[in-house]
Amino acid sequence: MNEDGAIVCEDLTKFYGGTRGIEGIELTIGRGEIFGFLGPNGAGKTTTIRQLMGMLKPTRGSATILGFDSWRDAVKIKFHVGNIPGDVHLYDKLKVSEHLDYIDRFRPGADPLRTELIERFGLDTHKKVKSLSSGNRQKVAIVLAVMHDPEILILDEPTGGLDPLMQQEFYSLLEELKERGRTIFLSSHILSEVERVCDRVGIVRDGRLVDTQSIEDLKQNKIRHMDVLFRDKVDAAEFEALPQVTAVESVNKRMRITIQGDVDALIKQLAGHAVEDLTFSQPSLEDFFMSFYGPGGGVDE
Amino acid sequence: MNKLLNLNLLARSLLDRRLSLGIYCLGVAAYSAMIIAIWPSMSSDLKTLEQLWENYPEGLKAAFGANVTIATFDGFLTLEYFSLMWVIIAAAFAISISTAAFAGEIEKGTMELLLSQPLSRRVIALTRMAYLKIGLALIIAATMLPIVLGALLVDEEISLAGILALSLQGFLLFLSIAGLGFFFSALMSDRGRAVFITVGLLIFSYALDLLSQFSDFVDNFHFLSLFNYYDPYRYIHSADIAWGDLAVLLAVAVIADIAATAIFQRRDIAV
Repeated sequence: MNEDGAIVCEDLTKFYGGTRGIEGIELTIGRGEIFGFLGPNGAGKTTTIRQLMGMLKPTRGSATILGFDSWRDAVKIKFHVGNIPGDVHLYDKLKVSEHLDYIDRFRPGADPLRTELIERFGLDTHKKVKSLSSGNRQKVAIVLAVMHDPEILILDEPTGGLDPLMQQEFYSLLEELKERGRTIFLSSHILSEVERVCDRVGIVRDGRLVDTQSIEDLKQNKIRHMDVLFRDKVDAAEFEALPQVTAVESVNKRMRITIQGDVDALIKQLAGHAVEDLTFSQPSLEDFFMSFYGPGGGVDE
Repeated sequence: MNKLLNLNLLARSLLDRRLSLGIYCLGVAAYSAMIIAIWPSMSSDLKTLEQLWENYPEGLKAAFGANVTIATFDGFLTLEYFSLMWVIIAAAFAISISTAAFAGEIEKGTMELLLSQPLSRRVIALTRMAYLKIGLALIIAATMLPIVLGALLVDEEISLAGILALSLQGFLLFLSIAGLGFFFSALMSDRGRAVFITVGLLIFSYALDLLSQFSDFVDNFHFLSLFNYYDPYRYIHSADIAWGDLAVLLAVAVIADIAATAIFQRRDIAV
């Protein structure tokens, strides 16, 4: 067992009957790290999180949080963990303040961040939970998870339903928590979100962890598009032959070249032609994502 | 204490359900009062009543308890209330609470929130079961209090020991019914199905009890019916406790509760 990791998954596997949820997840998340868990719906993000939270019993392998087994020591873990479920369900009959009080009483001691969080997210605590919009429910879920200032946060698509302003507020909150040494595991299918807050990213596809990369590497490896307008018609084949180029679409004098990695060879190749115009789009994580999810691993556009 | 019960969770159940529990208590109390209120006019027609009773088929009389005399106060209470209506009301409460305990909360999605707190599944299960016992005790008290007071008002004798004995027997019957509810609730993630199966078993149990009076063949399986161990007239009339019967009801309740807790502790929570 890796005792350095705040969260460690070893061969973590879950089958629902014969259907694979996740398989063979190996992961070590260090203390004070914000780790993004990236994947489309149905990739196994929620299954992984539910195993970390002790809701599901692993079919094989194990997950540990602060050295405690997520299934056997589920109760001990909960003293140190705050969780936002992927699908937030609250007790509708309660007022927001009653709901916070209720959950608060399960943990002896203080809730140092409660007042600050309520103000920060502009939550009206006098309202009944039933009457809240989905965005406001999400805010309640955030306060419920974070108010006791847990060492570890496990967040399943936490910004769902939040408006852009509140999303930004939430990201700053995560950054502050990280500065105070908190460990955050965040699942998402929003790439800009992961790029904004995470140190490292794990990419899940079809229940498997396909890759783990630092955000820097991620940016390096991502796919970009170069749109070129030539003065004369140019044969696409010479660009297709370049090792970094993954795809070329050519219509008349226009060409869209998809490239992954170093651009040097491409620029030199272009220099041999008369170029009228050129746009090299800002690298986007979306495109990188597509390289994992597009059919055959290629760009799907 | 906190390895078995969580007071915060228990208090929440009591608060959340104070209205519905209040309605159940009011319902049984009102029914008790009504039965007492109509007794004086009924008792003056003793003969008619007795004739009516005598004309019932033997099997049916046996089903309600062969030795029940409708013309007596406690016989009247048994036939008009404790042999069916009371059981239906209290069983409805027992089934509603027990099936909501696991399947209901999983279906609503709030179980995930609850399990994100430092709260073991055993504590959740035992606390839910504790709430049920409190609720049942209140419903039984709300039933019996008007009867004892009402008997004084209409100047009828009722044995306090009999009332206590019947209360104990009823409590154990409803606990065993709730045990079934907890069991199916722990197995499933759909409360409706847990209710359906529990109610189905209960109707089967009641039918078995009834039919075994008419058929020797069915009587061979009478022991399978929970109502085989429930005999309200014997208890209210003479406080004559059949310890063996009570032991069976208690065993069903305890075994079902233990099984439900064990299943809930091991199962996956996913909507």
